[in-house]
Amino acid sequence: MLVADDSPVFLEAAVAVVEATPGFAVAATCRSEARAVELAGELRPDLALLDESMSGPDPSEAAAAFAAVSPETYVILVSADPRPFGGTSPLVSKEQLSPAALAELWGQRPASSRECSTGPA
Amino acid sequence: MLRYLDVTVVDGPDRVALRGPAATVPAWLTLSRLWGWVLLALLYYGSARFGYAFGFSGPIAAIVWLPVGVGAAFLTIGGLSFWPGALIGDLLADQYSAIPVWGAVGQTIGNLLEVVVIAFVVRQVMRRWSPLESLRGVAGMLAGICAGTAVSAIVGPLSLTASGALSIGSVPHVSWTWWLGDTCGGLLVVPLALAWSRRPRLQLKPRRALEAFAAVAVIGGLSWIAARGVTPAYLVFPILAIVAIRFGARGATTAVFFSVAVVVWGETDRHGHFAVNSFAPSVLKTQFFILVLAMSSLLMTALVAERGAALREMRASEIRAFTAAEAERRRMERDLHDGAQQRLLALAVRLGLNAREATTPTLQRFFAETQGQLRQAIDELRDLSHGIHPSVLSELGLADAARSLAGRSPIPVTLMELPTQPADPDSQAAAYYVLTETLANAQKHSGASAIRIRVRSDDASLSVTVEDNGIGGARESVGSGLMGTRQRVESRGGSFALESPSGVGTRITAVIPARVS
Repeated sequence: MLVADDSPVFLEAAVAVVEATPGFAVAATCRSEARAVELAGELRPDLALLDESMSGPDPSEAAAAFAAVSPETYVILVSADPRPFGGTSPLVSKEQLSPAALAELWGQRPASSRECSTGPA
Repeated sequence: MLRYLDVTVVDGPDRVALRGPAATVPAWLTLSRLWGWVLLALLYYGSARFGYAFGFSGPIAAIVWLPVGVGAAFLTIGGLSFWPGALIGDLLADQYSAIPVWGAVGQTIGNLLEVVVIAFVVRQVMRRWSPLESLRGVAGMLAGICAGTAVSAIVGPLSLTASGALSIGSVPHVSWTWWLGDTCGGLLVVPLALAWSRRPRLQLKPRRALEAFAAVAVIGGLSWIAARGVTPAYLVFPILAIVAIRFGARGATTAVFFSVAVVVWGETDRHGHFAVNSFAPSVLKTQFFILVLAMSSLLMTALVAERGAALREMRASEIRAFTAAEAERRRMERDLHDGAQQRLLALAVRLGLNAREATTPTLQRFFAETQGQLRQAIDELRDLSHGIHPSVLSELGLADAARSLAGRSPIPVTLMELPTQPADPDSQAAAYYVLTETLANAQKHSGASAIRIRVRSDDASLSVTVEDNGIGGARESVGSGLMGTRQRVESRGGSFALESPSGVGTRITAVIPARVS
């Protein structure tokens, strides 16, 4: 999977959470949304964990950009501020990010993207 | 056209030949300049004849010698190169029947030097200061006028003495009156012309026109009865001061000119025409009246203008300071958000990861407490950064941000009305600022038990009303939150009203121009 956050400190912590989640592995990290979309096109990850403050006012646009280059990638947004909605993507607050939360959101992904049963690479 | 161009480019000598005839007319002698000379000569001559006709100028001296003002103003505004017009005008105006030709020519040279000196000095002054709207400019202009007229008042009488028209003994007396009359003419016309030669064009709304008309009527009436000797002439002073304050340089110079015109007309009507050697004490009195009136009015106008400019500058610097403070607040909020807040969040996540490995009850309790405190720190930091700049607005919108403020207030807040559509971010930020400041003010000072908030949006504005049932008596002292709120609202072109009767409570109303989407 792909992890993107413009804060290096939080990026490291997020990677640690992913590595601690059974069946999940980090394929690449980056610090901007543009680079994240680029990497998604190259690597076709199953899951992208994306800091919502990097993207514009409408998080749906970020999801659409990912869908365009890599339709099979499931996008989860993380947010530092309490935010009412993540557009079409699931949203988790940064304080709540944990292996359990990650696994739970992964489990809630729509059936269309359920191809591998164990976990995203 | 093209063929002509080919010929001139290819054939060098032809080009020179073609240019030849044009080169015989000097570049400085253009048609518009010639017309300028004619115009100046006519104006100069006309103003001199005007003085003779109405009897306030004589062949040697005058109560008011207008041509000096006309000539100096023309050269000041149009440029010194128009001097031949003044020379022609003065030669035409000389009364050759009353004085010998050579005396008249000497006098003309003095008069020409006079207008050139005044125009030169005033043009120099104008390069640095406004000649009417700064005290330095007015001082420079007065100095230029006095110096120029002194040249004429020395050269003129001396050349008349040399030609035998004046006795040497009468020179000091004639010089003095000469200087006074010329200075009066310069002081009346030069500022008047400068005031009216500048943009913008005159625009009078009906109310202002009525006010101007009333001023003209009062000045005319007071000047007239003063000229009849009924009342002292200085009665007109307060009115001229008001005109300077209300109408600026144009109004003040015009009013002085008008008042002097009426007084001089009345004087000549009463005492008969001004002629050679008719230096009655009343003439001297009139000249001093003109000098004092013109100088006071010019200084008053400059003071009023400088005060206005200082006020505008102060207001601009207030807005600059406010904008700078706002930018600094945003920077701090961004730094907090991107720095400390991310670090604390990362810490919370890592702590959560390791908490699973805590096996002993002591260690579990330690983790739980640490996580709780950390969460609190994150919340406080978030509140702090939102307080610095309401990024909460972009997330929640003004209505929810107001609800959140109300929820946090220690005094119960009733939300009477909240906007339903979002407005532009800047006006929302200003409205939010009004809410936070007035709520903080009410919490600190009012002793109220209830606060009511109403935020209403219409097509062009957001209006915010905050009222409490506290002790009232709130004031906008310098540096207070309420004054800062007023400045913030007014800097956006809005209005701010504070009603705080003692013992009844406080109500603030702010209307902020907004673009509602």
